[in-house]
Amino acid sequence: MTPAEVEAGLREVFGDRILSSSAVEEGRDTAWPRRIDVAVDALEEVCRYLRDSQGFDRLLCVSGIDYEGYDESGKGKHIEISRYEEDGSPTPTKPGSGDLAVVYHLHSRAHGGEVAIAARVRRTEPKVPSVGQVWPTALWAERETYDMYGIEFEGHPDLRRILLPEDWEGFPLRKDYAMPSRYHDVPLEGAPLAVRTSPREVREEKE
Amino acid sequence: MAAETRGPRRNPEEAFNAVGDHIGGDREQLLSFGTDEDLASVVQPGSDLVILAQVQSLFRWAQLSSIWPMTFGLACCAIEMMSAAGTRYDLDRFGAGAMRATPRQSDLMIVSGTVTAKMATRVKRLYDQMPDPKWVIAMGSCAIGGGPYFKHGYHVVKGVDMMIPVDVYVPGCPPRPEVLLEGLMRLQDKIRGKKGRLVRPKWIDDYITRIPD
Amino acid sequence: MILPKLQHAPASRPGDRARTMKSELLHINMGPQHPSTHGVLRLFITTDGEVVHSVTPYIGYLHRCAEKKAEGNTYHQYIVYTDRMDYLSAMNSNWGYCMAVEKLMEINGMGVEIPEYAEYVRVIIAELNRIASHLIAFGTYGLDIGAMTPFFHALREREAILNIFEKVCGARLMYSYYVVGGVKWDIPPDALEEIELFVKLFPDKLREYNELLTTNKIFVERTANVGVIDEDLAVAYGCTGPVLRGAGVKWDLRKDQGYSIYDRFDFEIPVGGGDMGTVGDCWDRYWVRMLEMEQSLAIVEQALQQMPREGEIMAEMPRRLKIPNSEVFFRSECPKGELGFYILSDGGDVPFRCKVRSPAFHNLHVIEEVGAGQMISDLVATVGSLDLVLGEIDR
Repeated sequence: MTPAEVEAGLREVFGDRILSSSAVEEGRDTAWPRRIDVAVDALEEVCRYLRDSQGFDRLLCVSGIDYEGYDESGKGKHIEISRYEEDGSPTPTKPGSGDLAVVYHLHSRAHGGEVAIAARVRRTEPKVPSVGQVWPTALWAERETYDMYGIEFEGHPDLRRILLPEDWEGFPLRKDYAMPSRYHDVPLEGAPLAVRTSPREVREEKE
Repeated sequence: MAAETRGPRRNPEEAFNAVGDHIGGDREQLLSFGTDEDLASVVQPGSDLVILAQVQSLFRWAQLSSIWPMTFGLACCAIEMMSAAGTRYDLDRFGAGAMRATPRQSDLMIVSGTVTAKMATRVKRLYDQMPDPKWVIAMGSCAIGGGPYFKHGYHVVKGVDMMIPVDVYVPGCPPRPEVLLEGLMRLQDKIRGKKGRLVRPKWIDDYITRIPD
Repeated sequence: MILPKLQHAPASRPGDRARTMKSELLHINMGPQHPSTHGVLRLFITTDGEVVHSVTPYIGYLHRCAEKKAEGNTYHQYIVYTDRMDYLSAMNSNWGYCMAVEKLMEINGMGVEIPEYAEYVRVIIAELNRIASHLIAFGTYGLDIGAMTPFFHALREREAILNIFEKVCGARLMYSYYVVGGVKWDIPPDALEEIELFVKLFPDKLREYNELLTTNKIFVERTANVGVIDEDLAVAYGCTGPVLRGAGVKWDLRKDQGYSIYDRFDFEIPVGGGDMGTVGDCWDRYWVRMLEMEQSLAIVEQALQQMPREGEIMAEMPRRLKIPNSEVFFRSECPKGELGFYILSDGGDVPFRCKVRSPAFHNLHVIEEVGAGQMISDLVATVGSLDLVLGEIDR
């Protein structure tokens, strides 16, 4: 199975819904890996098709991406460093407008192919169909993506935060995330408690 | 213990020296109890087998000689803590090898690793569950002040001392087991009642003078 | 391909008999501070008597924002954070990241050729670290099962490896030894001697471990036929490394993808064969690790023989690495499984996005499926056999 065959098969079945396809290594069209951008609504079907008909039996990785600022061919933009108001609340950063994306890296043990299926969604309604029914391992990986980017996976049976506490505010890996200085009664930044003195020292002070 | 005839007053230090010579070993380390002079004077001179001590000092000596740490590994530093308890470094030599799995049986909490927002309340709860007297060693840069995750670490508590009081800070990322042992000994000093001291090595002064403005 | 159904308590599991007695389910929290969870893993268990009805892992107690840090640090600076992901095999994580960046440079026509000498150094050090990591897995697994002695034996040999690393790069745990384009320092001659000595002495020690634990009756009773992960389950849940190989799948990136210079060495991929029970049980995963140590040792031995006496340790590298818009996903075989880095560059000197595909994250997920229906003590054995490192799961 060559990359071209996989791509031809995909185009035949899904037609327009395959948006673009490029070898990640430009100029080496015959080589894996290859990134294929698909329409959001076709994502689950594409994955199911690739698993059943093309032999991609392993889902390696699910990654979210926040494309805020990427298309301006960035010049090494650094992420915002948390800034605080006088009362300790974070200064709100400028809300971002870039797209979000999900990338699924698939791999085939049968023919060694490796392909990245990407779906790009608008920041205002980040909704993507879940592929948890295709590969169970996607369930956790999608929860992580939801946790970090706030992308909602439709059809996911248990979409909760996985790494952060469930009542955490905001999605940290978005580029416009402002860091909190407190989480409930846990200070994330600030001055330490008084350093405890030993009993002897306390006694001497009394004298 | 009661003496029938009161002999001349004997310097308690001398008495302890005598005891130390008799039982051998490192007297300074083991038996530096503070004693009341009047109490010392009731002891029959020459009876070297009696050790006089304030109850508090004696208890402290017992405490410092058998610190039971809690098996509480948070992150990378826990591996070095394991090494310290392991074959080469053998934490047990200092009476601190009996790792307890429950906070209710332990005296010492070695916070070995990064404390995150999600974990911080648990650390606090574990600390509250430990019976008094209890001590805390902050092991590694993360537990001291956030370490490498200080900047951009949205989920990292920048120092465990914002949650619970810390007795000894053991720096390093991660600290070598030797440094943990040193930290343990400083904690023993602290329990014994020795005042902490701040030693600035000469090389720091040399280094500071060399930094251009 | 038959995919496992996603349900927590399938029919005809040992718990079913207990359930007919209409006993109440009991909720037990195991962790995040628990001696057998290898860190700050929290397992929420619903039990029916002593039988686990369902198990839900809660992770994130060590979430240290490593992926956010990547977006604020240059390509070189991020190496130190890869150390702290899988802290038992920091060298392998370093290497995986460095190879990903090298691949990214190659895609953009900025490729560097790693000097041959440096490649040998990389292989030797990484394989030694694989042994060190498996030693901890072996030792702590003994502790989980209730055998204290193997832990001390394992730590003894691990200290020998750490001694070598200390001579090579000065650190015991966090090395940052691999850099993009090569390695940071040359191996000093006395460290080479020490490696040779280690290679000579270690097979005896392995024999000792096997006598201590592998065929120990109690150990076998506790691990054989327990926590069976078969091939379908392992593939569906994205398991890699010894968990996948323990299920009888011959899959190792060192051979199947052939990165670096692994094609020059003669070694085998050990797979679980169900010698003591079923293919894919805890004992198989444990045994695969023991065999892998042998193979790693063989690789080190061959590398020492083939290695040129001296050479460059680093390719010529631009001091400030700026990579145009492109992306790469590179995986390498770490002791825990396939560690992948998905790097998106945007022309700046920091990665735009760096996603880490953590092997233990996916390996842990399978516990939801395997854990249900076991006894609580077997659950401990199963979790231990997955060889989790929470620093890598939570990142």
